[in-house]
Amino acid sequence: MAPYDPASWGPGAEPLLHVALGVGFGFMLERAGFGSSRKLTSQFFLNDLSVLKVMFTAIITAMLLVFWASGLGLLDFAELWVNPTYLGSGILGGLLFGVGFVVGGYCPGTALVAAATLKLDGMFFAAGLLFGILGFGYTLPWIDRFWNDSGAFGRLTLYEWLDLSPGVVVLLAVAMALGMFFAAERIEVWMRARAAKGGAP
Amino acid sequence: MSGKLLAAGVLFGSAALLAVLWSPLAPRRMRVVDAKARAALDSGEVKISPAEVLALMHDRRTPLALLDLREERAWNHFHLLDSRRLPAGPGAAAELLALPARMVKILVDEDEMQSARLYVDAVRAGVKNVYLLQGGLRSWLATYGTDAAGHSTVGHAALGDRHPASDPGAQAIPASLVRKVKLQGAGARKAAGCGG
Repeated sequence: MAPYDPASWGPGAEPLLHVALGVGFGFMLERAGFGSSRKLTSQFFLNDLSVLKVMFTAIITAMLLVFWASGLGLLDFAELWVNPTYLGSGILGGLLFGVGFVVGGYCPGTALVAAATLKLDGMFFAAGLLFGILGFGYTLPWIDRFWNDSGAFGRLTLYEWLDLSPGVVVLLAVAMALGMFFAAERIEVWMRARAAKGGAP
Repeated sequence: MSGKLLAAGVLFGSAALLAVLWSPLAPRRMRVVDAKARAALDSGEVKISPAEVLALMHDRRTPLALLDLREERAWNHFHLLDSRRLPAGPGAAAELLALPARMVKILVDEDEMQSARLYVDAVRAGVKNVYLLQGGLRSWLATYGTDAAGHSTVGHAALGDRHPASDPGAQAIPASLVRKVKLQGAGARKAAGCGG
């Protein structure tokens, strides 16, 4: 029964799996065009919402696979690592992340993809990312209480919070995502028409 | 029909089917969880030796709950220091679930019979970090409640946790100890990737 422990498959199995997953993920990001900062930042101007559509498609596909496997007893969801909820630091971190994304044109993963294809801006962004990690590590003791205690709810899932069946929550999430995709396509058409008339930013 | 509409239909249909089947599939999930819990019991991976329990009693970094499932009379006669009674009954698993998830819960009884039953119920209820005292209090007293000649030092008096064997002290912890307890959900906060 999943999840399995790759470390038990033999020495080196876990790092190899990580490398294979990382290369595969990076390759798919590059193929989706996410190594281009122009394409990535276009979502903030509503011209191209591919990032939203691709990411949410990945999220709901993975969600369906995880909960179907869990529902059929093939996966013990309780054993799966779920990021603990830290509302305060999560909201502040999300805002900083968003500002960095708009200004720099990348998020961490796509910056590495861009750097891998030798894009200069991607390399600088990745270098800034490493510098930021270093700075965060050194200043962590000053913000440790906020980082660890602001709105800490532990492992909190949507179905626990809403007190609904996981199956119903998955259905709601998929319906929400499909609604967003539909709206995103309409917005893109509207923005293209606006640009054709010369009104786009 | 366009590819996008077909994909959306497949995703929505799959999600709707999952929502409908989630409750009917519950017995199947429970069977799997039960089998996993019984396998953990059979392999002994959740049965903690008296020495490791003693080490945990003296480890201030690990939150610990020692839960004694025996009758009140047996509890009054002898129990481990800082343990508390948890009458083994229908509500016991719910009481365990109410304890903090990041706390090691060790079930204690005379042997292992009641502990093993409650262990399965607890795992089924989603309780984390639950273990049982290997061999129960018989094993504990055989280790820490005997004199040099091997005779029991626990008499008929109801001493509760005032008997020396209730806590033999940190000096009784063996230098080399194979630890089975792995506190789930413990450790430093892990960073999460942004997903792209």
